[in-house]
Amino acid sequence: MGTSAGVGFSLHKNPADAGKEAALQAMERGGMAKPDFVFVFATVGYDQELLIRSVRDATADAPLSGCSGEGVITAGAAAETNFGVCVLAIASDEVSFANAYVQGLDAGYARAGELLAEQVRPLLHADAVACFLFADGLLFDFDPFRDAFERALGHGRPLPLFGGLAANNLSTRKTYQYHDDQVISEGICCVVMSGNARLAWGVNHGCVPVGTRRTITRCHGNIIYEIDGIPALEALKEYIEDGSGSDWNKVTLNLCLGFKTPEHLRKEYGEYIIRYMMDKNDQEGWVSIQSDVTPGSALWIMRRDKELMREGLQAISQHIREQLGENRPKLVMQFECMGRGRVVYREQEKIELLKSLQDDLGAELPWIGFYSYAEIGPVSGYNCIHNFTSVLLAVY
Amino acid sequence: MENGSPTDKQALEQQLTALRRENEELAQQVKRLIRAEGKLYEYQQVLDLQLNEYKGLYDLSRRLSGSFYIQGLFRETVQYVVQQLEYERAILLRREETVTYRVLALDGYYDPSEKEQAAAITMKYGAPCLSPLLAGREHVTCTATSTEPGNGCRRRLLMDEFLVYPLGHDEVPHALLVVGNTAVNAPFHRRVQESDQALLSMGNLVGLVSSILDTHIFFERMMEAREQERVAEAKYRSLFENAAEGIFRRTPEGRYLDANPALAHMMGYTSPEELVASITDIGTEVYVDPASYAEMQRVLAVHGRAESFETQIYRKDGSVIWVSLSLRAVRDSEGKVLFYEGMSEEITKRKIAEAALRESEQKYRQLSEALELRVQQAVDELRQKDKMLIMQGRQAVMGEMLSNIAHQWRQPLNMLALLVQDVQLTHRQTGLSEEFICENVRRSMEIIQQMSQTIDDFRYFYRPDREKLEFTVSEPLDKALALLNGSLRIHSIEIQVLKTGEPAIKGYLGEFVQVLLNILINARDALIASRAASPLITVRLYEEGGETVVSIADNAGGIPEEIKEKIFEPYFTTKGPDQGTGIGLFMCKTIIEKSMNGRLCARNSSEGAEFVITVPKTP
Repeated sequence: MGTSAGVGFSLHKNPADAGKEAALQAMERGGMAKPDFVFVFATVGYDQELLIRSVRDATADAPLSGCSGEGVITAGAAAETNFGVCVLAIASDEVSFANAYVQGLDAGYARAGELLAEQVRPLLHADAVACFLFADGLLFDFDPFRDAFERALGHGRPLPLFGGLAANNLSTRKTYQYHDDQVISEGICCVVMSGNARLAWGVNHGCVPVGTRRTITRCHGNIIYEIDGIPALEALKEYIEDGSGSDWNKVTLNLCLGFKTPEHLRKEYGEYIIRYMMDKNDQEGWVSIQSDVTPGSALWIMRRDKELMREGLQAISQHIREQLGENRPKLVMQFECMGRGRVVYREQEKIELLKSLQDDLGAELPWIGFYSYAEIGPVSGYNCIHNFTSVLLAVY
Repeated sequence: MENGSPTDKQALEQQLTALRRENEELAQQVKRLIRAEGKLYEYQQVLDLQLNEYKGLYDLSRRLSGSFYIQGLFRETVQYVVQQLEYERAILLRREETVTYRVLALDGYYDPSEKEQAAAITMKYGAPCLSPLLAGREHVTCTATSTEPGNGCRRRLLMDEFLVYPLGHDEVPHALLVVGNTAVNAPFHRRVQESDQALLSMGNLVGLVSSILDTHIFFERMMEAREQERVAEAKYRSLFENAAEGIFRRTPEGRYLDANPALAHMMGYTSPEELVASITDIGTEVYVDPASYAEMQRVLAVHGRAESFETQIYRKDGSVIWVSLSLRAVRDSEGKVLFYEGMSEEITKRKIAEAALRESEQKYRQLSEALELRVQQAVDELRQKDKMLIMQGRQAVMGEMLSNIAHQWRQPLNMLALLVQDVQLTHRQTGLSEEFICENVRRSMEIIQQMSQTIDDFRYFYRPDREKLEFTVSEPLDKALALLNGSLRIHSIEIQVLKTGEPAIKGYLGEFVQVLLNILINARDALIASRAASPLITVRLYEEGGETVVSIADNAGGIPEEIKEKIFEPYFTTKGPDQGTGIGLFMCKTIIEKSMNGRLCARNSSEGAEFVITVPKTP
């Protein structure tokens, strides 16, 4: 039989109808009566429990994993709306999927990594190919999590991690992660893919520095208190139209921070690693990012560059095609930063760019993705978290 | 460089300063560009949203403009509100005959019980919820923080913030569009806000839908009118084809334009077509009497219509039938007669029936007249009989009177005989002295005078009644008692007359005396027959309620109950054939009730019978 996969998509406002429509469409397109595993990405306007229940009902309670995004992506569509859902249904006798999750990040991200590793370890087999991670995008520090997870997992070789951080459309204080019937927040869902499958992927951002080098003069963990001796927010203010009174969500979509890429990653990834400022404190003047930093680190104020982003996607496509050779992907997953969607591209531009990418790799491929608050994908053999980045993975 | 001249150093420092300044200027420009780029992206998003909306509106317009299905319009509208404008919920209510609006389409209610509740919503145009519309506002706006326009609107609509728009351009709008959100889901939907910008999308939609709705309504009304026209035409056609009456259209000049099967059948033609083709001049070919046709034409010319015009017409086979025609003129916009349309009802049978009726009426009239004559004759005969009966009664009483006179005269006659014999005897014995003769003559004359009075009394009774007189009742009573005096005295019957005032009546005196005599004689005979110990006849005369009452009572024991009802019947008597005729009381009742317009009744008292005569004082 091999692997059958299909993606369904719905913009219906009724969660029961939307979930059912997307699931049935996915199964129909994948040519299956019952899937073995289901990925679900949806936006936050829906009653999430009703939505997931309807998907589960339609897919005969197939194991399920996924998360909420700022928008959903499938063939020919990239819907950044509060009401969109896409479902990837997979039936395969050569590739298997097993899911796990942890909920609660209060004990620290390292501890969360350890706890998740405990859940995942029994699912790991020698033929494990990759792990997919979907974590809460409002409060996640990737580096300590990854270190603890990989260490606790004790797998001979680091499993490549792919995925994204769940988003909330900036309209609620919650993101959602899906595990079978459960809809959780402040959690991490994980899927282990094993069996006869190979991976081809690419990672690219498209940001450029807009000033001279800056230096972090005071920080702790993932919080940057001072840049060049002044409060971090103060240093950023002159790039913001209405100063600190401006909408922070909009500010952070236009501005980001760049750090020198470590030497071991630089060849594949480029000169800068981009970080999104996920939170701030007006009184104390600090900003936080999704990985840890140390005092004295150099940083640059960065901006997105549409042309670079376009060229970057083409480079990813080229890169993946080279890896695929003559092989046809079984499915494609796209984890796209929400800062690369409608906030920068005109709607028509965005769709054309996506279609161009999909045409390059195969217009009929089962293609699923979502707009995330951060993207996870390995670079030069190291699992990394990225911002303002596109992570494209083809499973073949 | 360190070895350079001061001038070089100065120049270098100037260059460095210039470069730093330039760098700073460039940095500022970059920052401005960054800020501008941020703004650009924001505008870009707004522009995209607007373009998306206009595209959606255009698509909606294109979908709706090709259809005249109003339910589809409403459904598409609420779907557009939810899917395209991203309000959570939308309800479209349509006006019914009254000013009540009922839900015709809704979207965004996904819980079945909420959907059912929303579907049952009704609104009256004057409801407080819609008060801003009545006050002239273009729409009702209720934001999450504003006071709702009518108590319970939020609860009824299941929306915590909402807008209400009238649809259509009638004074009382054809429909209402309600859109809004619940509080819990509002963050994921377009918020309800007051600003013009926020309301622009709804304004565009409402403008489009109102315009299409007006067209729909116009189309609907046109279709209804056409349907009514079609139904009316079908009804007319059905009536025309199946009517029992003949229906036709004809020209003012007298040629049939159209006819129904009933008319063709009535006139003996196989089909309406044959009738229309065969007759070219109604006046000469159809009407039997040309004058009748001329009259019809005249009436139509003057009044424009003719009702129930009865005339005779020829059938195809030349036979003649009666018809009743009703016609009216159909005119063009300038008043010119286009044609006459009319109905024809065959009334030949009715005409025959009418003739038969007239004949039978004539016969009836003759019979009736003959019968009337016979009745009159019978009445006259009865009157004559009554008169004869009265006469018989009077004669019977007269016989009684003669008997009384004879009785009363017997003693005076004996006295006269004795006086005459005494003259002869005295002459023989002593001779007639002057004194004796005078005394004898005086006594004889006294007796003769008494006898003469008796005759006068009888004559009083017997005198003919030529006219009604007004008389006191006591006068004929005294005469009657005088006539009966002899026989009453013989049987020791006492007479008691109790009179109050001097009651009078107007009537025929002779007849009234006859009545009194009859009743008194009956009382006398009853007393004789009863052998009463102290026979008494009590007569009471008095007036009561404008009437004169004469009561004659005896103490003879009364009228037996079994005959009480029969005593006034003619030829009924208890005296036997040798004594009574059986017409006395019948005659009395006839006289009192027919001649004097009074009443005569009999009743029993504790001692005997009482006859009461009641007569109006002025009958």
